Parts: sequence; C-alpha cells; structure tokens
Amino acid sequence: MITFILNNELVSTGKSAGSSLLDFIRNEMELPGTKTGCREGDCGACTVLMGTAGNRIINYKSIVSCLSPLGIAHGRHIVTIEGLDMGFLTPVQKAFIDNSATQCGFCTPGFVMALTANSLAAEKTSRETAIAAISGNICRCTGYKSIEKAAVAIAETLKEKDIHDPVRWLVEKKHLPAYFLTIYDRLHDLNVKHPPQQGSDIKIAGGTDLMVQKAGELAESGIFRLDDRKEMKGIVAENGRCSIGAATTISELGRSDVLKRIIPGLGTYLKLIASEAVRNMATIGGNIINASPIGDMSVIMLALDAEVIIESSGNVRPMPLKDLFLDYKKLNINNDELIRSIVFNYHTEPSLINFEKVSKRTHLDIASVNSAISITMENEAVSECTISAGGVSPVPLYLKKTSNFLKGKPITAEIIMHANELMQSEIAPISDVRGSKEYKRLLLRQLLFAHFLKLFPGRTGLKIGQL
Amino acid sequence: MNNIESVNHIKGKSVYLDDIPVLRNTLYAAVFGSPVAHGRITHFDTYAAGSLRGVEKIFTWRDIPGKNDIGGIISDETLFAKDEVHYHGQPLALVVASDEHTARKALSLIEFETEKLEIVTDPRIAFEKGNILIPSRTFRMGDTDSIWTKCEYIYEGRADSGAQEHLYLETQGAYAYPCENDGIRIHSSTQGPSLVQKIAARVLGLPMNRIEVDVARLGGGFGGKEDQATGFAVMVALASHILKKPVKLSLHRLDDMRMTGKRHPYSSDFRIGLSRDLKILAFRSVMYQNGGAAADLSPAIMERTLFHSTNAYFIPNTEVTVHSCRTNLPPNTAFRGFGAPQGIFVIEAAIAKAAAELNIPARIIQQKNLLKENDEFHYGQKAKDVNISKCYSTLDEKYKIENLEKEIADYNTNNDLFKKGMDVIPLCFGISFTNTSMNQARALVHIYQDGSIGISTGAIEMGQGVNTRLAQVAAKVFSIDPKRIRLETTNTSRVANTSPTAAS
Repeated sequence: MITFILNNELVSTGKSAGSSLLDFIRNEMELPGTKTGCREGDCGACTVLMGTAGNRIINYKSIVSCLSPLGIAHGRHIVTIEGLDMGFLTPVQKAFIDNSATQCGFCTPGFVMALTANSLAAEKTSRETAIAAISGNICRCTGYKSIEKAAVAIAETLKEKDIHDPVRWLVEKKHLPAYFLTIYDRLHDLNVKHPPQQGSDIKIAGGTDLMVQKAGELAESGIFRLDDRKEMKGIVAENGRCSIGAATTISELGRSDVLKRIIPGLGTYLKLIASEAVRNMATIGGNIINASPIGDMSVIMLALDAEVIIESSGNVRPMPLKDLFLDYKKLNINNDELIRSIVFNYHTEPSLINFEKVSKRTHLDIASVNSAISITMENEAVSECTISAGGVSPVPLYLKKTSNFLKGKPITAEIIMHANELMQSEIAPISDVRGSKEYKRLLLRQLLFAHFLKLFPGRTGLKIGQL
Repeated sequence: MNNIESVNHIKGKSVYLDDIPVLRNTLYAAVFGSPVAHGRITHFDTYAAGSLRGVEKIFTWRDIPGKNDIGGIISDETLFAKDEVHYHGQPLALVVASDEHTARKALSLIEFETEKLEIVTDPRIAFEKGNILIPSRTFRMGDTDSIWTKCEYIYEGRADSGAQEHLYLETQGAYAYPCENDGIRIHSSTQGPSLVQKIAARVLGLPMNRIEVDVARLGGGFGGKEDQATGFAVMVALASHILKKPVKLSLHRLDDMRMTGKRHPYSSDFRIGLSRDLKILAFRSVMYQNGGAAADLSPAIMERTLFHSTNAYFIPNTEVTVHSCRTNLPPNTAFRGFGAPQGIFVIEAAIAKAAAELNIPARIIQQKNLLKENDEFHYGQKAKDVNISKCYSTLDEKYKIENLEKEIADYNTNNDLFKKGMDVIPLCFGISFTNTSMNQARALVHIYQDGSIGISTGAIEMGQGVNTRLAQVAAKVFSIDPKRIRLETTNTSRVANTSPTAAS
C-alpha cells in the first residue's frame, strides 16, 4: 500500500506505484483542479506541492504530478489547488485576480501552486525567485505580463517571511490553511516504511525522463525508489575532491554553497536545465544514466573530468565518466548496476569553468549543442584543460585532442581558431530536428569562442564581427 | 470589472471537458492515427487489439451509419480514412475500452500496412503537380502590366512563413452519452458547437434535433478548435450512439500535436515597384498556401490573405494570387489572424527588401504609403475613418522611434556578444467573418420570478472574457448588479444555428 497525506486527508491506495500521481489525483481522488496539459513536464498545468518531513519542519517543493510516480508520494504530503482552499483567497490567488492574470484559466492552478511553492521555500522571496518559480508554467492567453505582475505583487507580501519556519509564518499570515501546521506530526505518526520492492520493479530516481519514455510500462509496474537512499544523496567536498550523490536533484546542486564555490556560474547554467518543478525532481545521476548525447549534466561533469562510482550488489568501483558512454544510449555498465555518486577533483582556487547551451528556446528545452570547459592557467599559459560537447556525436563527448592541444598554449585568437579546426575533426554531428549537421558544427565553433570570450574577456584577440 | 470566472479559475473549480463528472459505465476512447504520411492501405487488422481484455469495440469507417464526411466548407475530409491515408496521424479507428490505459494499449496491437505513396509537404511542388484544394484566386486593381516601366525601383524576392501549433493548454476532447428517444448529448471542447451538431448528424444519419452540443468553456482555442474539434466530437458521438453508453475522449498532447492542423505555412514570390519619392506604385505576389491534406477552413483563410495582402497601405496597382495547395500534412486550420498575418508578412517583406536595397529604414516607405480616407483596397472597398497615420505619429511622439534606433545602433557598435533590434509594423485588420451571413448572434435571456437572470448565447468562453462582457451588457440593460446574472453553458438546444466563436 502507498500511504500519504493528500491535502488534509490521509490516503492509502493499492494502485501501482509506477502510475502517475496526476492520474491518481484526478481520477481516483476526483480532484480535477490539477490539470492534464502535456504529460511531459513541459507545461506546468499539473503542478502540485510535495512536502517531505525534515528536521522538525516539512520541506515543500513544486513538482509536476504528470511525471511523478504515485509511489514517490509514499510517506509525504501532497498538496493540490483544492488543498489551499480556506473559504477566502490566498494572497497568491488574490494577486492573480487583481492583476487579471487568468484568462481561460486552464494553466492557472499550476501557476498558483508553483508560486505557493515559492512562498513555502525556506529562503528569502524576491521578484526573481517568484518569476523563477513559474519558469515551467506555460500560459497561452495572457502573454505573461499580467502573471509577472502578480508574481511581483506576491513577492511583496512575503518580505517579512520567517525563512526558518515558513509554514507557521504563512499560516499565521493566512497564506495557507491552518491544517498545514498539523502535517508534521501526522506524517511522523504515520511512521511509514518502504513498501516491499521486487526485482521486476523499475529503478527510478526523479522519473522525469522515464515517466515520459515508459509511461505505459510504468503504469503497470512497481518502482524501486532511489530518491531517498541516504548513500546516494548529498554533496561533500574535502581535500580537493568533491562527491555528489547520484540521487541529488538539480535544484539541490543549485542550492549547494560548496558547488557554487567550485563552479561559480553553476546557478546560471542550471537555469538552462528544465524548469524549477522538474529540477526539483530530476537528479544528476538520472541525467547521466539517461545517456543522452546532449545530457547537460553529463557535459558539465565531463569537463570536470569526473568519475562515476558504480554500485553492483553491494560493491562499488570507480569509472571515468568518459568511459561510461559507449554508443548512442549504450552504457558501459550492466542492468543490475547503478551509479551511486559522481566524484571529481577541484582546485582550491576557483577554476575557469564555463558551460554554454544553445536550444530552440532558451529555457526548458533540449540542447541542439552544448559544451563545457574547465581550464587552469599557469604563467599566462594553459596548464590543464578539459572540453566537452553534446549534440555532436552519439554520446556526450570529451574532446580529447582539442583539450590536449590547448595545454601549454597561451590564449590567442590564432590558438583558439586552431583549436576549433582540431575540434571539428573530433565531432560527427547528424542532421535532425535540432539542426543540420553543418549548423551544429557552426554552433559548437561559436560555443568554443564563447568559452574563451567569457573566461578571458578582452584578452582573446577574437574579433566577433569578423568571424 | 474583473473576469467573472477568475475566482473559480484560481481555485481550480472551473469545469473543463476532462473535469465533467462521468456517468456510470463510461468508456474511454483513443484514436488510432496513420503512422505514415501517404499510402494505400494494404492491411488493416484490429482483431488482436479488439481481443484485448477491456476493449469494448474498435470503430472504423465501416461502422458509420451516415456519411463518412466531416468537411466543413468542402466535402473532402473523412472521419476515418478508408482506402488511402494522406497525412501522418490521420484518424483510422477509434478504440473504445473500459479505461484510457487499456484503450491506448490496444492502439499498439492494431496491424496496419500501406503501400507507400509519394509524400509532398512543399506547397510549390504540390501546385506543380496540380494538387490544389480549391481553384486559385486572384485579386487585381489598376494596371499591373505596363506600370512597371514607370517604377524607379523594382525589387523581387521570396517570403516564407512557417507553421505554428496552437498549443491550447486543454487538448481536444469530447464526452458523449445517449439520451431518450435516440438523442445524444455531446460535451465538446469546441469553438463551433453548431458545426459539431451538424456534422455529427450527417455522420450518424440523424436529424440535427437529436443532437445536443454543450460547451461550458475551453482551456484555450486560438482557432484550433473552430473546425478541428468536430472530428473528435463526432467520433465519440458515433461510439456512444452505437454502444448506447457514455464515451469519453481527451486527447493525449502528443496525439493532439500530430493529428491536428496548424497555422498555414505560406511560400510567396513578390515584386514591388516604387517611384522616386518612394510611393509604392505596384505590387504583385503569388502565394502558395500549404493547406495540408483537406480543405478545412483553407478557402476562407485564403480569402483573408487576399484581403490583407496590401496591409495598411494604398497601392494603386496590385495583383495578388493565392494557390491553396494540397499536401501530406494534417489539414491546416484557423489560427489567430486567419491568413491575414501570412498575407501581411509578404508585403512587409517586400518593403523590408526595398528598404534594405535603398539603405533606408523601412518605416520611411511605410509612412509614405499609409492608407488615407477614401483610398480603395484592391477588392473595391473604400477605406473610411482611416486613423493609421495618426496612429503612427502618436506612436512616434510617444516613443521617439528615431532616438530608439540611434540608441540601438550605438549599443550594437559597442557590444560584441549581444545585439538589439527593433521594428515597427502598422496593421490593418478586418474584423468579423468575411462570410457576411455569419455575422449574427442571438441570446436567450430568462428573467426568473425572483429577478435573477440566466443568459444563454452562442458565444464560447475560452479566455477572451465573453461571459464577463455579456454579464456587463445585461447588467446595464437591466440596471441590476452583475452578481444577479448567471451565464449558462453554450448549448445548441437553447441557442441554435450559431456561428463559431471566431473572427474577433
């Protein structure tokens, strides 16, 4: 049985753990406020809150319920638009009305939930966090300006928020119904255990890709949850070596002060990966194991020359990430193995690291081409260099020749142009919906230039107008 | 006044098609669409799919009691393909099962093979092959032959505008159930309930009075549910009528995106001639409209393209031809602007080309040619109450176009990595239907004994706020508080023979 609290109600169900939370909410619980928009996590109409018991408080985040297997709700608090109802409007709802931010209304519950998650976040709320919170919500009627105004108005009401116990503050200020204060004790009393898992169960961490690719299969299957395995969570950096648990979500990477020190631009890069609600679920391990040739985290981690720690029947062994990808969607590990963590060496001084991504739209899209670079300089010359690229071969590519060539070289336009020529010989893009092979070659050239222009502003000698 | 629906919207209480509480024994449907874009059917076997536990019945063209014809303007479109398929996703069968998961599972068990036929997606190639949906049309005014010798500057070029997906957040869907005396009630996510009623009657071989279509609201339409909601509504009506059970269909987004038409892509050649003082003396264009595999609303869209092909300018010598081409794409359909953006794009592309060649901003040419009072359009109408020059100068006063251009040029000179751009395009758009008889509306207003009021009209609420406006109108007419007015669903039994909610 899967047991959790849905809004203010304890529910138990024997439905299959791999079926979607969205269908359960709408069809079994008959709560139609959560909308089915795309079943791909792309529109945000099905956004709900997921609360997990932490240290004496519940941590809430937005998730897209279409990509959430029902089993992931076990032992947690799920909140739908109906769960915010208290007989009067919440400040989020009021801001939507005051700013005419709803037209046909179909996307509206998703926006309200995403912004409520922003209110609930244990961090200061600002105009920026409010707008970032709705990055995954599509509205086709308004043109967004009215929604943006509503988001800003909401942020204004949250200036005094107590970030140590946001739930209590929000209940006191009538942002949330009072029952939210009872959830911690009720979840604690539930004392849920994992339901027994079976060999046939599908391993799932965030589910944001599997629930799209294998929705039919999962709907009839149990799941083997990886998302809350302690040894697969968290980020540790000591003695120049950083280890990231494979089930760490992309959002958790973004919040890590440790990682921000090692990769100063990480926050900006992560905004190019999916939407907030999807980043709240998707994991670094999932992004890598997916073996997509344009996996953003794979490309970033290749540039850091990372290793994956592979776990099979209790034993662990390391493998360089660049050896993991064999061919298109083919990995150098067995079916019963999984990635436990990702580790890489870092310098105590910030390295020169950059990530670039071009996609048909800036946010929430799969890259046409992406690339990452990590450089260490010594005496005005490159001492270490690792460059990676996605979308230009069947696998996320470590650009070995180009990386080696740059070692020992000064940063000049000539060297960069030569590196590009070498790089072009290392790649083999194909023409597909994301661009022709010629276009992808051109894009990667531009991304290489962008790496140097950003890391060495004014010092490359590259004349953009002449390229 | 705020949208009267907004409180329900923000609480998630507004009811859309997929939210209607279902009746007992409701069955769920999934559409089997062609896996190829063009082919002659050689093998089509639904036996294995039909034998799957939970599958009630699989409907094909053989099960249609009336006509297998859902064409709106022209009868050239089937509900279910029979011998050939003409686009990827073209409906061939409707699987009806105890639940949606089973219905979708059954889709994968349908055996389907075709002998492949040539796939044409380029409207120019289609035209060369003689594949047109309706006869081509030309609008002409003045002298478009010898005038070219009087032009100081002549430029030619090609303009292509692409397709666009409506992406209404609520996908297409319908829910139908049998009523007394062989009646059927259809809840449909449609902009045109009367069209659903008419076509359902045609396909089922029933009189229209047996079919009631009800629409509470749409989660967006944008033209995509003007004509293309019909087929899906008729499919569930057919299934419900034959099985005598409630049947529901709510399209999966991927099915919706691949089965339904988009904004028409156009590919056009143009020739523009200007005098020394930059008056546009002549404009000629041949436009290839990519209509997809069936006419749908293409004839009316073609007409609007022709009407808008000189945009907000007076061009004394104009000749514009549109070829509506049949290709192997889903039938393209209405989309905000309804052919006008495609037509306007060509004349603006011609002006942009002339401006680039002459090395001047396009606005110089635009401003010299704006419509004036009593200027004639190339279809004979005289322009009245023309405000476009005033509109342009007000804009200029407010935003100082030249200053903005200079700011942008300076920015671009000083920035390598990021560039800015700006453009101004005047717009002339004809409101209402071009088919004049469709510009009609009715309302049924009930004044109850306690003074509260219920209003039914033919208008569909889809986010544009029509229900709010109607409540305001009624409140003013009756001099009462809008709170005492209730807007009912749009229903063909209360207000009949309506035009679709479109052409705003």
